[in-house]
Amino acid sequence: MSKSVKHLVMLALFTTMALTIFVVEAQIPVPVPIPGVKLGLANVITLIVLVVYRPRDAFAVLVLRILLGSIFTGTPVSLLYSLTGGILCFLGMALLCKLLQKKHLWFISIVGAVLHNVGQILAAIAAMQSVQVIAYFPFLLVAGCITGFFTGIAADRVIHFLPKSIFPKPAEKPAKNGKHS
Amino acid sequence: MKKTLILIGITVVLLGSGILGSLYVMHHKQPEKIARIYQQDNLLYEIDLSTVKKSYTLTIDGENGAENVILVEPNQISMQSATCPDHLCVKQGAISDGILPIVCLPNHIRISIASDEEGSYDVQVR
Repeated sequence: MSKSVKHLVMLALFTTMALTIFVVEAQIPVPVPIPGVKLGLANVITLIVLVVYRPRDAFAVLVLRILLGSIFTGTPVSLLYSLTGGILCFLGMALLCKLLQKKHLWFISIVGAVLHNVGQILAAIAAMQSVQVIAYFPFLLVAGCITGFFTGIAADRVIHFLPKSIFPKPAEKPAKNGKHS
Repeated sequence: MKKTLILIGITVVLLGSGILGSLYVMHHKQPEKIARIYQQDNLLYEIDLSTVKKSYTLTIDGENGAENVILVEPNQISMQSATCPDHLCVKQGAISDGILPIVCLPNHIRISIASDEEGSYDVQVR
């Protein structure tokens, strides 16, 4: 019982951190005038939760961060872009997390960033009802590779320094847990 | 170790295709300078920029008090001001004959040059 409370509190804390990063990042001006280019620092938290906890926990943190983040900073329109990008990014990263080891986190992050951009372009095509916005995609691809690499490295470093006590090892074996209590 | 090399390879391919694509988009020129201004998917204005002699502005009102001011100049067009939060469309500057459109995502305004969406115009010019 206390394990699940701890789990809940940890996820809430991660959501808060992601939300703070998201809101602060929205205030940083982007040097390139291309819509959709950003650092994606909040993805660091999604990556950490994905590696440390289960994929569904990461999904909950991601969706909550996007919903709350667009209430605090954005407009209903930016919610559409963030949500399509975020969900596509999550699906790709969750799949790669199963296939690759933890040391390849930088690659998982790059794929996540690129898929986030794919989602944004798809949402833009749907919103604008025009395929022409695809002309932005090559720029987003370059930006995604670069920012994805660095957010991946950042997440990798953070996981390296996290205290071992937050890793939910016993929680992953609920059968054993049940016998004890 | 081999896996790492494969992953680096994939990244390089992604990055390379992105750079090549960006260069293509930046250097591709359109034969005509016809600007089309869309709100959502409605064509609002169609301006042949090569026939513009004097600069003027167009104001487009959108939902929830959104307002975009478009500056039409001889041979080029730009977003002068916008009520969106990021102003990326304003920072992008003027376009004249490239395929990269000016897009104001929050207000759903799109300025594109001679898109092939209405290709019949190309035939009807002469």
